[in-house]
Amino acid sequence: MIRLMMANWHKWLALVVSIQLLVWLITGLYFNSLMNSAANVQTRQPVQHEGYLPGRELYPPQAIDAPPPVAVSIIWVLGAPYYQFEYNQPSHAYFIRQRRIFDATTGAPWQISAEQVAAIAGQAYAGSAPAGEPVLLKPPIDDLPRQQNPLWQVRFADEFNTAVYLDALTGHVIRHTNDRQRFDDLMFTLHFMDYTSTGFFNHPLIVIFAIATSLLAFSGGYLLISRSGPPGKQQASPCLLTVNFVSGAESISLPARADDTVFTTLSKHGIHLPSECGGAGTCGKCRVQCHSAPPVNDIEKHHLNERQLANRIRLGCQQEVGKCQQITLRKR
Amino acid sequence: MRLVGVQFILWAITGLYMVCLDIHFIHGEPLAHPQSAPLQLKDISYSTAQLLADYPDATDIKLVTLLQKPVYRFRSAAGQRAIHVVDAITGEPQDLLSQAQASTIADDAYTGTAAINTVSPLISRDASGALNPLWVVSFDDVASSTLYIEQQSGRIIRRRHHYWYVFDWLWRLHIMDYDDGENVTNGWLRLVSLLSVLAAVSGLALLLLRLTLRKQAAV
Repeated sequence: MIRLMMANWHKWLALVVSIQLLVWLITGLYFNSLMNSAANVQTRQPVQHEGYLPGRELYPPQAIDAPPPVAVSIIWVLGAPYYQFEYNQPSHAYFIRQRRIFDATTGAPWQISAEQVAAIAGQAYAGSAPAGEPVLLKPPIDDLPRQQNPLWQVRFADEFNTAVYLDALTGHVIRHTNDRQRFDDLMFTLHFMDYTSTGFFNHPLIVIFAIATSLLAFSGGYLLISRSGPPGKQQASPCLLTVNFVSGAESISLPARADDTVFTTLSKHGIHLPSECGGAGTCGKCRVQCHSAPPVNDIEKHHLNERQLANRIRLGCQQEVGKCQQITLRKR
Repeated sequence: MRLVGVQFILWAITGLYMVCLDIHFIHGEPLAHPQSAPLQLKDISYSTAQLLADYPDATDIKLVTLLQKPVYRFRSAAGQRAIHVVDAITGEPQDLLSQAQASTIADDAYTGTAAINTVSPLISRDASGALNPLWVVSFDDVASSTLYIEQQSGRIIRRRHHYWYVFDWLWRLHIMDYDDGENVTNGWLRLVSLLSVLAAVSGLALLLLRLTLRKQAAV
């Protein structure tokens, strides 16, 4: 009876999970065989920001009028030094960063201008397509779902719709993307079922599907193993299965062993009873009428009603030829 | 299906583990606090100009707090090391971290309550392939939480616990790359994925066939 319950579960789980399973397999195959992230953006080139520091008069960071930071970095933007006052140390740069930038020569607060962003993006882009105006975007940003900080976006009118994203305060390049990269991102969105754009794979929808899929896989494994059953007893005696037909076709006798099922005996001789489960006892379709009234098992009780059992209707996959040597079928 | 069934089960359960445990937790991010004590800027008496006179090729200069003191941390080709730490009050270069100092840093950063179990040295390689001496500080908690601290810089560069190792192995099983888990494009995975797609598509075809046949039978 566990088998029947499992089979039922298996069927409904499969219905729910099947499409996503196919999506997982196809996107997985894509990651394995077709994806080449490194080659997606061919127009990327490094930007040289750094200048020569020795000999420059730097404003002392302790004289800057700002709350005490956790750390101070000397950073470079287009050849000029700046102090980056860091007020938190997030474990990823895409987490919210609390910073202030000061000109390291004058000590004055500083933030990059749109013109400088355009200049940096132009240096970072090796193609020849014209650039759009820099736009300061607030998260959520479609191309970078994980990003929690505002970023500059500069679009280039090339065939792949390249976009360069830059740090809102410093103008340092965060990421290049284009339509090839967006396609890869879409494959990840599908693989991770990340339809709400969290940028990650730890969300309730995929957890539910992963649980359902695990149950599906285990129930499938169980059904597959339990179907094979114990190896046939070699000493089972040979006997004959006689088949009569309601349609009036001539009766036939098929050689079999006593422990073969009626279902397998018939299919060995080219007579295929209706079946969805292939003789596993889960679909209840392979009905035959026996001449004797052989014992009924739980699986047959599940699939057949009182009247059918009284009429000696049984399941071909549950009856052994030794106990049910003569049957009637509707037609050949 | 019999051919790829085992891998189906593996994909399902390894995937389940990976989606259930938060990736930031797996990476050990909650194991250690980020540094949050404000920098004592007013104590600084060794200026950047002095630093640059001593280390003209210094790059990636950063003022941070290390063991309660403000220090400059930077890269320079001077001496035998890649990362240098210089006291921002006295201008004294900081030696490689001692075992006791590593314990202090780990204890301060650790978010749990367990005591330190072992502190052992490890020579690792950084991303550029250079040798990088570390202290490996492991705590006596259920997950054997371990912090890896750079002897040159005092930074915590790696956080590990049992859940990470389990994740790493399940990831290898998921992508069928059993040696180092870095090759998603391996041939085994390709073969089994292809067979699996065939199995799934044939399953779908059988289902559609059955539904259409049933419809025909009903007519």
